[in-house]
Amino acid sequence: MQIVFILSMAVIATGMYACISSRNIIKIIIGLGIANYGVNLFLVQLGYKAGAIAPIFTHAQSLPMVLPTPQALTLTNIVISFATTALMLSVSLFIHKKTGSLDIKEVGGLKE
Amino acid sequence: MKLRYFLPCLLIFAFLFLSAHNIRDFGSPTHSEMDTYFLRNAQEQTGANNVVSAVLFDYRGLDTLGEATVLFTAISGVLIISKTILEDDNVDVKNC
Amino acid sequence: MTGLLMHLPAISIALPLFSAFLFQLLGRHKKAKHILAISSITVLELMLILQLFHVASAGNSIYVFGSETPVVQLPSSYGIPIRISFQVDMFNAFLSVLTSSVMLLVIIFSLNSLKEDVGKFYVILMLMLTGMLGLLFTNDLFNLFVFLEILSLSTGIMVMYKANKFSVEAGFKYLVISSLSGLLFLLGVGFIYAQYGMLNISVLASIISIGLIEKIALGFMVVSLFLKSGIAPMHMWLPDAYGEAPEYSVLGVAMATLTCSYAFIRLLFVFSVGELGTLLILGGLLSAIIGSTMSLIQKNVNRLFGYLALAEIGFIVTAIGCGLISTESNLVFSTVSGGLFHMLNDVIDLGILFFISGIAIRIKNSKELDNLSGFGDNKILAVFFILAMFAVSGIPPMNGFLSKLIIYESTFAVSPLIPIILMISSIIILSSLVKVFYSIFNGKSNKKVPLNMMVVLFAAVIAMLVITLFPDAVINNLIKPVTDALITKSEYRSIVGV
Repeated sequence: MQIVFILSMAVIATGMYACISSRNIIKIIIGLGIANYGVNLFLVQLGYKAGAIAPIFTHAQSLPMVLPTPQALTLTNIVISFATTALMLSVSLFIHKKTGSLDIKEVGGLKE
Repeated sequence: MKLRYFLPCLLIFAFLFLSAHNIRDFGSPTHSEMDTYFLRNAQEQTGANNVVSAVLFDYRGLDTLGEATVLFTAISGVLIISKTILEDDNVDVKNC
Repeated sequence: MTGLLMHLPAISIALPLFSAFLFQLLGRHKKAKHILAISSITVLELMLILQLFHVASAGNSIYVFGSETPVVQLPSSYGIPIRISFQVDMFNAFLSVLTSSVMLLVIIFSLNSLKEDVGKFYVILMLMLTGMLGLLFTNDLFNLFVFLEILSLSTGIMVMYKANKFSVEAGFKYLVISSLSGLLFLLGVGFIYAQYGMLNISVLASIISIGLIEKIALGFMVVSLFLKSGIAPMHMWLPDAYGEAPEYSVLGVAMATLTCSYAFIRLLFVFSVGELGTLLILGGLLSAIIGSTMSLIQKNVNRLFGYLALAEIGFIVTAIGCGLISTESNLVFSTVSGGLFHMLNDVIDLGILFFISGIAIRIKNSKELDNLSGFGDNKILAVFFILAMFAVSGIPPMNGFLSKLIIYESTFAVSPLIPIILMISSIIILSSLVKVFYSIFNGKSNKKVPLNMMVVLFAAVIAMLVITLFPDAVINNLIKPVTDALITKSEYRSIVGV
């Protein structure tokens, strides 16, 4: 059953490739978002137990429950990634206003 | 696919897949004493029927405070650069 | 009094955090904001010094968030800690005092450089301080990630505080790289959680057995922390960020990267992963080479000092990596104490350089070396610069020489090649600093230096001279217990039960 973990890693790899290879700022931010979804998916998968139910006691059957901690970590990470994405999108607005372009190569005034 | 990015990306992907291959089986987590404690005591100690919210707001409450701080930080950052973003749009940013 | 001492770790996080929230309520009272910033950070500094003395006399202090009594880690009748806890030992207490003093100096230094939005600057500074202190004190892997994100987000905002085209580009670069590396760190935490089902560092350190999965997880974490602290192959964001950050707060950014390097030092030592020490040595040597040689061709003075900071971090990381791979306890102690002593000297010496360049940039209103001339008649600044130059490049009798000597002597036992490379990089550092000296202290212009900047500069120089004159006292009373706290893991690993 390792295929599930490998799939989430594939999502992360896709996001990282998009982030590294693209020159458009919006595409970089989208790539980071995809990588974030992959990490969230991976964390949620860590808590899954075969045949278990959600950890909510309201009308719960007496079955084992999945682990709650990874879900809490995922929720925290979702909010953090949301904040980072919002900040980076506003930075991209700034860059577009100043330079009229979203291409990271054209923006570049800094050199090695 | 540009050749320049191909090799480093391939390395990262290989490392990611290797790590995913070596992890424990899906659906049978190692016995986690922390989660066992949460499932056993959360309802009684915190009064929450949803164990995830009990973990989020009680047992790991400091993480949630940190998460709120991250939001606050991001908003302060947007405010700092907002003057330029809203320059020509007839919006009064003095009071932000 | 005992109640205050017990709650000190929590209060030292809460104070900067709540003062960051308070700045929003003050409206446009500029003076009130100055007073709030200076007073809160002074109180924090005093409390952290108190905590350092308390830890030195009474051992590690532990704070558990949300339990019935904050000093008991284990819940009643249960074997492992389940809540987030802080653990303060000599190492992170020492670094927290260093951090808060640097931030205090930065605040006083920037008092009259700020124009309109004083509040926003102080908010970002306080959030940086919160992130750093949380990162230092925390004893929980996921909590470490959260504070790392607070720190990197606020550092990125600090880099683009000037809100011009270049600074925003540098800040965007930093934000992208730091959020990518944050993801890598979270992946590492996920692997550790999958294997052991817990997140408390102390407990993990006592039960961990280093296999393939643990190596992968720690590899993810170390690579991500390398990215955040700008160790050599991953240093591409560092000179941009240092060069474009506001000249009065660039030392804060430098301190943030140094704090990120604390995290991997702590993790590698407490998990005793000797195999990854080679990674540290390679990264450190590469940083020393790249940082010193690239500094020769720079035109922007803060960018040049950024490369110097990279080289100095390389010295620290090399020494600590040698301590990590060596098995002899004597050698471990001497290398690690050299690295930590150099960390203290590095912050003070580079701080003086950054302060002098801040004064020059503020008066000349340019960061280019060619435009900075005209301080030839300011004898005090020139003397201070020469002292700091000697200290950074390791010329006797300054404090930088003493720590570099310990590093050279102790790393020679690991491999004779290491001190040779480090010495060559020291010489290159001296030559690029001589270049800066000639371009700043050339010609006369009779410009008056603002008083607050001189006060800060004097404080830093006095600290440097104290270490230079009494190195034995500093080493015996401060560096020795700090090194002991880092390399003897038994106390950090222990868990307080009922």
